[in-house]
Amino acid sequence: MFHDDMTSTKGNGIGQSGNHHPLSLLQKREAVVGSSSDIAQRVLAFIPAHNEQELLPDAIRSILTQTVSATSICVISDNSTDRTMEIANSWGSRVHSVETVGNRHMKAGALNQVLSHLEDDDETVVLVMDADSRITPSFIESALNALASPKVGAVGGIFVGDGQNGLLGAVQGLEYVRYAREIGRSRAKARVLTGTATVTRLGVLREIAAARTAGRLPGHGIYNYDALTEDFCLTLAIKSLGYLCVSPKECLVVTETMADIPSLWRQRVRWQRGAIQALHSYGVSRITIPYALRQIETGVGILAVTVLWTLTIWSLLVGQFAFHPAWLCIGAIFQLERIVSGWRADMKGRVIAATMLGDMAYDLFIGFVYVWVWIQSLFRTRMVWGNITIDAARQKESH
Amino acid sequence: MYGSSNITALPAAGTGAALIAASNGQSDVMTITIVLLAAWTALAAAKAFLRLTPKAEM
Repeated sequence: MFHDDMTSTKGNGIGQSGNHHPLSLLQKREAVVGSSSDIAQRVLAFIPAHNEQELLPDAIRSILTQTVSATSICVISDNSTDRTMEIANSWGSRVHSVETVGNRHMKAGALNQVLSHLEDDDETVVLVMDADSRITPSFIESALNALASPKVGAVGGIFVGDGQNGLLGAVQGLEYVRYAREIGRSRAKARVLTGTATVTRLGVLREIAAARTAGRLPGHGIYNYDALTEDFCLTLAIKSLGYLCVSPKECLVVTETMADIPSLWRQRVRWQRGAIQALHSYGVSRITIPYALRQIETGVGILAVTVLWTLTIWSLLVGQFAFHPAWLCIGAIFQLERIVSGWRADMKGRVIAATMLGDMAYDLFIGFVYVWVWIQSLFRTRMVWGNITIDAARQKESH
Repeated sequence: MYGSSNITALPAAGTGAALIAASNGQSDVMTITIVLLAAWTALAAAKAFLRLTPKAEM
């Protein structure tokens, strides 16, 4: 699929190896960083990065301060034009760096170029983490504990907002808090292995690649570079192979929230369209049915709330509006649930949950995204936002 | 992908008004629509209520 000459390495001496590919050497350097626990598995951490000079140091630092150390850390610089490589190389022997060559498939392509060079090894697990994210100190240790069960194929992080970007950031943070609560209440079953930080068995990644080559799974490569949302595709692939995907509550990953409405729109359109694309490519199965039902439930919910608003306004206009105690109580249940489920958010998030209006506005926004994407999908239009195609938008977001 | 509910308090509370309106000589189609809507809202409320109940998180 990829050849050795498609990946170049720089810095820290690993690019000058003679008989071995530099990445196979990287895999064997477990003694460099070492492990602080009895867990025998080797953890290879990869950070795909596209122009991430600002946040990359925090991402690296969060891996270096784990309670169980990563065996090696490798920054994969993909078409960066800033100081990403220089920063990656500034950590000495603790961090390796690689540059992709000729990659046109963004994050998925960058990861595939590197992962395809790793040697088969049942004891190796791979942490893939976004450069704009930070994992909490017990992330790797908790992930390894979860992976002790052979049924578990991958461990995804539970993301939390970084508390930046004012009200827009707060409402996204509130959404993340609620999502984390739902995951916790569903016995840590991961709906989506987040691209922000996921630990996967190398053997499982190999199985995925083999299944795709054999046509048993849709897509190409370890990370499907045809997919708009490679993390959701990875989730479906791992589940289709019969493994569990989990997100223990200790596996937290702090990630950036979108700073403005257009960015948020682009992100959510890509997520929604990626979900539809992936479900379509996997077809009907016991794995995809729950996701499809969720899509249907969301659609019916949007239709219902639209009709509710219309009828409420209509009843006001014709002078028949009156509060009915039973339905007021039902309204109160919704409002109480919004507050309770968002209670772990920061103060801004709690205020948004308590005042109702922020939630309603955000739900309206998400509803618009859903309807817009389904219309686009049904008419098979190419995803465009302004003058930016989805490919460009994904490049901006996904690294 | 990550949202958990898209019916919020105000429109749910407004369902009562819609039901009252429907009982005042509206067409059958309108009445059926509103009853279905009420049923859906009640179902969503039941789910919201379940999310309020204590449950061990993992």
